[in-house]
Parts: sequence; C-alpha cells; structure tokens
Amino acid sequence: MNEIIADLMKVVTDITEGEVQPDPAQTGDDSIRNLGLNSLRMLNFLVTVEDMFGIEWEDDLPESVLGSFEQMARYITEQRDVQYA
Amino acid sequence: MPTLDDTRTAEPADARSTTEPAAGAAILDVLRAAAGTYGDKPAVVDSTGAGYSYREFLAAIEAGAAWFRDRAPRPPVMFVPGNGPDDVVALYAAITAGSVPLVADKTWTAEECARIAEATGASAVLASVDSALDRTTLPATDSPWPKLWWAELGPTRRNERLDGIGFGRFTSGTTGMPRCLGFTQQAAVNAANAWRRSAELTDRDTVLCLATLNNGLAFNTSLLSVFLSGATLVLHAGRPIPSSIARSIRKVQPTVLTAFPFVFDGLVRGSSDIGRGLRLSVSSAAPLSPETADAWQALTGLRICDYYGLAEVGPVTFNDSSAPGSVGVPLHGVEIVIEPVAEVDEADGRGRVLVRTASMAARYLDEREPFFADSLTDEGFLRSKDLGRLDEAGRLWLVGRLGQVVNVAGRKIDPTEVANVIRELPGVTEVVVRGEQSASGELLAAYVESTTVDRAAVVAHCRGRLAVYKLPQRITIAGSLPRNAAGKVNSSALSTIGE
Repeated sequence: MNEIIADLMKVVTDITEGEVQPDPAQTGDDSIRNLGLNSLRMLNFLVTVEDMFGIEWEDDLPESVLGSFEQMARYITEQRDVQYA
Repeated sequence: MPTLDDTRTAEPADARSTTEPAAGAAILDVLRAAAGTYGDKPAVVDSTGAGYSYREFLAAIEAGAAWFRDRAPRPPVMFVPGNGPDDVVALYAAITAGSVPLVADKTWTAEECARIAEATGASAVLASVDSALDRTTLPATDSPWPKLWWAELGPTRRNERLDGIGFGRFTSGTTGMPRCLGFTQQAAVNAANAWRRSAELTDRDTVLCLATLNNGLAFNTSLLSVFLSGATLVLHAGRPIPSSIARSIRKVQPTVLTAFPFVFDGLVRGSSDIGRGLRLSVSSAAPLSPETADAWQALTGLRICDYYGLAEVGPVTFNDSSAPGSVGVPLHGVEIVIEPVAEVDEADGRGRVLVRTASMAARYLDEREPFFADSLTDEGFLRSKDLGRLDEAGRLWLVGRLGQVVNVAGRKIDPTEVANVIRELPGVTEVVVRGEQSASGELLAAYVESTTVDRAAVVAHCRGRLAVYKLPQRITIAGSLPRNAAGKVNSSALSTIGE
C-alpha cells in the first residue's frame, strides 16, 4: 500500500509540474483535498490514476476515497484484487 | 416515467417539427406547447434513464411553481442546482412562480454565497445536496425535490431591480466578486431559438449535456432549446470523469454532445465505441487542442464544433467545424462589430468584440458600479472583454482578452476576488494574483508577501472561502515582493522571486 501511496504522490507532483509536493507523512483523511488542487488538476489526477493502475472510478464512490491518499490506495488495491481474482 | 429507451422507440414526428414560440411567450407557454405536441416523449432524464416526459415535466413545473408561491418570502431566491432532472424542474418552477432564481455555481462556498445573497437581496436558497453548502449551518428544510434543500435567509434588503426579470445568471466580474445579471424570460426563449436553429435541433435528437446547469454552455445550448425542439435532454448523473462520461455516452447514445474542451481531452484518451449515433459535438469556453480535435474525429468520425457565448448576451456564434480555430458565424439575430482599441494593433482588423443579441441581460441585479448600461454602446452593443477579428466570410476569430479575467479550462476567474481572500489571512501584507502560462495551459498564480504563513496555510484559508476552481495552483511566498520606486509591486519582477 505504501508503494501505491508513493505512486499517487508522484502523480500529483507530475501533474502540477512540481509545484505541489505532497508530504509523505500526510496520508490520512483529506490529505489529497488539503493539497488545494483545483477542479481541473483534480480531474487530471483521477484520469492519470485510472490509466496508471488500470481501474475505473465507480460513480457511487464516496467522496472521502477521492480525498485521502490512504483510502484511495486501499480502493485501488481492492479493485486490482477484484480484477485479478 | 419514461426511460431512455423510450427516446429511441418513440414514434418520430416530422424531423423538422419544432414548437415555435409566439412573440413575447413566457417560458411556461413554450413548455406548455411542447407538452401538447410531445406528450409522453422523454423531455429530461438523467443518464440512468430516470426523469420526466414532456407532459410530466409540465405538471411537475406547475406543481413546483405553486410550492414556490407558497414558500418563497419574496424574489429573488438563490438557486444552487445539481445536475439532474429535478434541478431543471425546480429552475422553471421558480421562474414560473416569479421567484427569480439566481442560478449559482454548486462549488461556491458558503462565504461566497453569503456575499452574493447580501448583494442581491436573496430571501432564500434552494440548494443541491451535491453543492458545497452545508445545510446544517442554515435553518434548512426539505423541498419537493429529494436532492434539493430549502432555507430562508435572514433579513436582506429588498431588491428593487427585478422589474421584468425572470431569472439571474452570474458572470465572474472584475470587481472582486461575481455579478448577477438579470434576464427576461423572453431573452431565454430568444437564446434557445437562436441555438436551436444553428444546431438544427429536432425531435429526433438526444442531447447529452456535460456542463453544469449554471454554466452558459448548458443554459443556452441544452435547456430550453432542447424543449423547443421536442428533443430529449440527458444529464450526466456521475462524476465528470472521462470513464464515467464514456459509460453514459455508451448507454444514452446521444445525437448531440455538449462539453468543455477538457472533457474531450479526457474522452479521447482511451475511450472507444462512443461515436454511435452522434451527429454533433459541441465544445465551448476555451480553446480546443488540434490534437484532441483530430483524435475525436478518428474516434467518432465527427469534427468538434465550437460555440461562443457570453454571460451578458447569451449565444453569439457557432462554428460548424468548417473553419478550425474560428468560433464561427453569428447566430440568427446576433450582430457583431469590431471596435478598434488603442492598445491593440489594428493592422489585421483586430479589436474589441461588440455584440448585440435578442437574448441580452437587462441589468445587473446588484447596486454596485459599473452598471450594466455602462458596458453598452449607444446602439446597445455589449463591449465585451474579448479581442477578435471578422474575416471576409463573417466568421469571428478570437485573438485575446482585455482586462485581467483568467480563463482556466473555460472557468472565468476574477483575480481580484482571490487576492482579496488571501489578503484576509493574518500575516499577509500584500498579494498579487494573476494568470500565468504552464505546460498544461493557463493557471492562477498567487504571490504572497508574508514572513509567517506557508503554502499549506494559504491553501487551507482559500479552501474554506473560494470555490475549488478558483484555488491558485502556483503559490509563491516571499518575505517581500519586488517593488518599484513608488512602492508598488513590480509585476514584471514577480516571476524572478527565488532565483
């Protein structure tokens, strides 16, 4: 899971062209939301994560999953487990 | 209640048949005529298929109007819609009741909404559960629509500028907060007719709208124009993420798709099988990249058309994709003039775009200056902030903007509003906010003078007070900003901070 979180943080750094560098110690609730990404960058982030991990965000996904590195990494792990089951 | 399948299996009427509104017709008259003609055909549904037939739509609006008459203390009311069929019903119900809904952005924070309510005298708010507003902070009650809640606001001053006004829409403004433009119902009907003609909408069309209802792209191309035509409006029920949108497109199989450029950018990155039945793709609000246009054509066989509209005047031009890079020719009833401006080289005919339409706003609904009339010429043309030129075929080409409004992926942002918010942060002594280029397009940059605050503090402060799309993405903090001899911040030296 830590590896996924590190990958997610790198995506943030890449899509913000280095202007936002997440703190590896901040992974809990609202840790993504607290980065202050605007709507467009948040969308780019989600699309890039879909491509990177081969997942699709479900429409009924709780907002909290998209706002936290930990919860997002857990969701990605679960999605991959389903895909490879 | 109809389903999406009904859209495709309903007996098609004459492909060119439309509901022509009589001159001076109010919106309800248009919808009443449409209900008489199209009856059980789906009028507005979400991408799961839930929604209203034309007959149900009219009945729901009339019932909703009765509710507004009973509950709304006085006009105007602030309306913060989500993106579903009930939101459309509530909008027209409020207009029909004379409640003058001011159609706000669902990402606006409570603080932003409170400032606007104060400026406009809004007596109540009807807000989506999907909005950024927290109903627990207001004396909120349920409304007839499950995903909309209602709250009366404290005493505000009576708005004396509502004569003849049916509804309000917002523009980013340039004076530190969005401004509310008041429109007559006839202006909405005229806007819808202008777009319906250019897009050749008919009762065989299914229009999938991916813009939020407050936005001009949705308001002018995907609401009343659809109902005038007897077409079906489908509202995307999921997140604005390309994978979710692609699922909607496959399910709905629209004939018309309206979306912002960044949606097309996302859709061409890995979507497939989404072009079936599509006859018209419309983009707006920001430039579309040639690569995306080419990829979309490869994916769907269609070029993406451009729509250009202004909050103050409604729909302006339409490019049927025959002239890439242009925003096209004026819509029916639209007049465009290019006015020379001192700071722009006139050699190739460039100048300020002046526009006159039959769908113009009547006035601002607040008392602040400048007044709307100040932005009009003696002949009634709006002096827009856009720079452009007209070619020999009458097509408009936009070449830049006057003033400081920043366009981030189609969302217009007033830097003054953002700077004012950051300036409130204790420890901040000066702020400059402006648009800057990045590898991915224009972004909002904030230069903050402070010895005590850090980036996290600025972000946290802004998040509670500004809509997400207004958050500055490039934040530079310095103990002192570069200044000229007169003590004013030297803008040209800002980008060298830290070098």
